[in-house]
Amino acid sequence: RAPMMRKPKWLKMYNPNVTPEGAETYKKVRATIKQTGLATVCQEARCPNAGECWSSGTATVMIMGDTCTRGCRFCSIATSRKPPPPDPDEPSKVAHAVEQWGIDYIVLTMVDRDDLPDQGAAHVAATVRNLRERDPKLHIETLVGDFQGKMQYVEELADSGMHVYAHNIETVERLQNHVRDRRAGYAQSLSVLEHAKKYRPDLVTKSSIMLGLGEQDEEVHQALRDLRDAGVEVVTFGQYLQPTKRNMKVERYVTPEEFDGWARAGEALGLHVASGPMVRSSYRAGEFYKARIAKRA
Amino acid sequence: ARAAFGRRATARMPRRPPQLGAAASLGGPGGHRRPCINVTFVKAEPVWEASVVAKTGQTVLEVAHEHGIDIEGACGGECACSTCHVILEQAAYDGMPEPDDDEADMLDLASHVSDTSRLGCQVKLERGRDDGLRIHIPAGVVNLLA
Repeated sequence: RAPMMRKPKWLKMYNPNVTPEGAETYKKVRATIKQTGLATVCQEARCPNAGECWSSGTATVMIMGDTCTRGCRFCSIATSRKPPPPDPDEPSKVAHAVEQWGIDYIVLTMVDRDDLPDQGAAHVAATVRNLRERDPKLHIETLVGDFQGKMQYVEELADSGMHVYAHNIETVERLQNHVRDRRAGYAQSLSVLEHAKKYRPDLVTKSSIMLGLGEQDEEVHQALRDLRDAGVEVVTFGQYLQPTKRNMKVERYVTPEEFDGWARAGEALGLHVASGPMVRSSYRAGEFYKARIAKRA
Repeated sequence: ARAAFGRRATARMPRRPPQLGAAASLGGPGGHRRPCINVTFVKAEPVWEASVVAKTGQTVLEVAHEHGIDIEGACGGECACSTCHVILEQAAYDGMPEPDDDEADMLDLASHVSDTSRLGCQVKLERGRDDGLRIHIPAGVVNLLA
């Protein structure tokens, strides 16, 4: 078997037991997740930041179940051609969890549901609306799929009341076929982001790119320009980490200095950028929003 | 930290049953003994072969993962990607039922696809027919640099 690349020293996971409060909060978040039966992308995608995020009282809930219809090479979320139907009680379970955690910013993500006639748009929209109704002060970020580029679903979702509409392009244009499921695509993802912004200009649109998959610098610069041209305001960069043996290998570990360089490159284009090896789309999303977005205009 | 993820995540980890001899039958969860065969995984670059014991009824992908053979299975064996693409020898390919439409669609997307290509997750091993099967791992599947 090919020898594995050793992880560089700068990749460190946060230990939730570092403080007693952190450990308590971590357990509370974990208990809520177990009790409500909600899926989290934290667990299903094996995010290395789970210790940090859960111990600070938040998790990124993944709605419509823990099984996706797509099979992207970087992702360890379970795949099935026909996952079980979404839980009709999910909107209230999500609201219960958010209430338990006492947070004012929640990131909701979803699995792709190409098997459903509306790709799950109505269910996601209902979940967001329910949250807004129960707590009008709650800030909501939705990290969603491309709905196969069908704009009526993008609009249905955009109308539901989130503050940040996020959809990840994942990688540069050349690597889309290598890395993402065949149903996903660069132009499609950009058009979804562009349309959401045009349709609801008050929305903040956001996207993310994983580095270390074999991309060239100029391709990443181009991706930043393409995102800017699509009206996206927030971009995150993180290091791709191989979640399980069944997923694609890391091509390269990008240095923290390079990540800082990408932050500067994005900001030079007028984007707000969160960039670092452990940064993920929803990592500290609430803090980032308050620090950058809430301030603007 | 692993315990914190609960049953959901760890339930998908494959079981690693104890390996006995090549000719022995191995016990499964119900105590059933399944006949075993030998199959050989082959790579061309770098040249490399590994003969392993497989239980009949396992898919090529399951066997590969159980023995730590480097084949991706991004979608977990659900015929939703092409990362477990393998190439069989003509006689072996001909001796098996043809891929169904779903598998054929996925194979169209595989790199280095050939007339005797199959998805590892869709080939279920059978006693007799597949004893001594040689499974070629294409260069392009596993590593972007290849």
